[in-house]
Amino acid sequence: MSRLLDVRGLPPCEPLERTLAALDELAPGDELEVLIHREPHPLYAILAERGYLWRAATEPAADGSTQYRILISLAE
Amino acid sequence: MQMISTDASPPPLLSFAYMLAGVAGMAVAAVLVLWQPEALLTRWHPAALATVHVFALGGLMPVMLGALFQFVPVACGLSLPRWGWGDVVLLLLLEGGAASLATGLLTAAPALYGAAGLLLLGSLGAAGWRLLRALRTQAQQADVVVGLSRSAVALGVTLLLAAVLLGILLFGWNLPLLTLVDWHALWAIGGWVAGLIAGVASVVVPMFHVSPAYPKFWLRALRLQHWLLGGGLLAALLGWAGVGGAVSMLLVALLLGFGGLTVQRVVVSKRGEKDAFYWGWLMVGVLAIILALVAVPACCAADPRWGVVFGVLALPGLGGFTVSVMLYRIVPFLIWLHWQRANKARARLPLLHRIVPELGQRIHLGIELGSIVLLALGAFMPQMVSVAAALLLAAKLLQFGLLARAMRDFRQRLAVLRTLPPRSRAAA
Repeated sequence: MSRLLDVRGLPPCEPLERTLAALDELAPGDELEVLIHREPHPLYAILAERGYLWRAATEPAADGSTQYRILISLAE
Repeated sequence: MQMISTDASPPPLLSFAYMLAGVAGMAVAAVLVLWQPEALLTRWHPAALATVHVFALGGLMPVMLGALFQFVPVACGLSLPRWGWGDVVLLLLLEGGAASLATGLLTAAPALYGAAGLLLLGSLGAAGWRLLRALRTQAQQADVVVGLSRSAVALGVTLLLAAVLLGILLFGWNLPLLTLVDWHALWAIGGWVAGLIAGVASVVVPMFHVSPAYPKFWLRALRLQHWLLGGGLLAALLGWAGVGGAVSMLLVALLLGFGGLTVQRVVVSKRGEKDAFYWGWLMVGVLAIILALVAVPACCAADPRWGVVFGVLALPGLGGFTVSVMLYRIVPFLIWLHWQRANKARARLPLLHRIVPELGQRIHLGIELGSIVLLALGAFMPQMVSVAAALLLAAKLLQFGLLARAMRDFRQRLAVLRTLPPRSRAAA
């Protein structure tokens, strides 16, 4: 099952807080897709420490800026 | 995929030690003015020169370096290599150098200039080299990385000019002292300090105020900064007064642009909270605009007191006040982030804005802003100077207390979080 979490436009530290809360609910085999308006460097470190796998891609946002789509799953 | 952890950079407690040392350095500068209020009569007074260098090198510099230790990995995804005890030695050399230089300036002791030169050029040269080397590792450089690189280069030029000034003072080199002092100060304030503020603001203001990014044309205009400072220095050395004046006005336009764009971004903030962070950044923008306006009489009027006003509004004003405002966001954010990383039990953590009490921030920033206004007025009303210096000292002591308490809470809660068992996924 895949779940989309849109945290664009939220002030720090809400995107990170909401992502970590969503990760608490993540079951093996599930994926969390996070959409965010800036590259979340601190999140990557936390994901690595807690044994998650992730892929990040950039895409243009409606206002011409860059947004990030991060696909997170539990490591096997 | 780039994955940089703040673990690869100097640890948060070291960052905090640099920040507290810097706030203490700024308090010492206030004590110097209290001790010799005549310092503000002219920028050439020995106490004025000593105070400026204590504030800039012993105050602003350690705070900026300490913040960069953690800001670079968080905002740029790059790490500054850890130097272990070397980072503690670097701080001691920096503070020792600032103290030697100030004592040398107060007592006109050439031996102390030499010692200060060695300590400061060595420590700051090493710090600037590490920053620049880390920033250059990013292949496609983000705007913030370009901005930080630019300010590191400006620090290098400032140090080069400082070395030349030491050569004039110690070895009698036949070079134009006053011109070089002016451009040493302009590269320090307009290049290093303003460049760093503009670079960090380009991330912090849109991110924390939830407002539009600084426009691309502005980030491109900032690239002119070095050309203007370099051209101005060259023109001044060649005696082309007209070119130097025109260059100075373009620098003023950049300052005005920063002030205007920052005010605009804060005013349209989607955060909706009119807290210390909101008012603080609004005042940063306003200070930049006032500084740009004061730059005109400071540059062109015959009355030298405008130069003192400009110096006050630039150093404790735009430089010191911006650093104060930023500290109240950077310190709580780093504390929260490192708690969160250690929080494998997913225990409830204090909210970000409660880590440093809002009322304390407001009182401190209000007193500091009042002291800056009175210090600037002190150039024309010398009776104000002692009161202003006392207010600045009170502000810095209050800030030291607020930050030290937050840092103590950080250590205590971190120790507790590390003892808690991780939350199991099955229980989630």
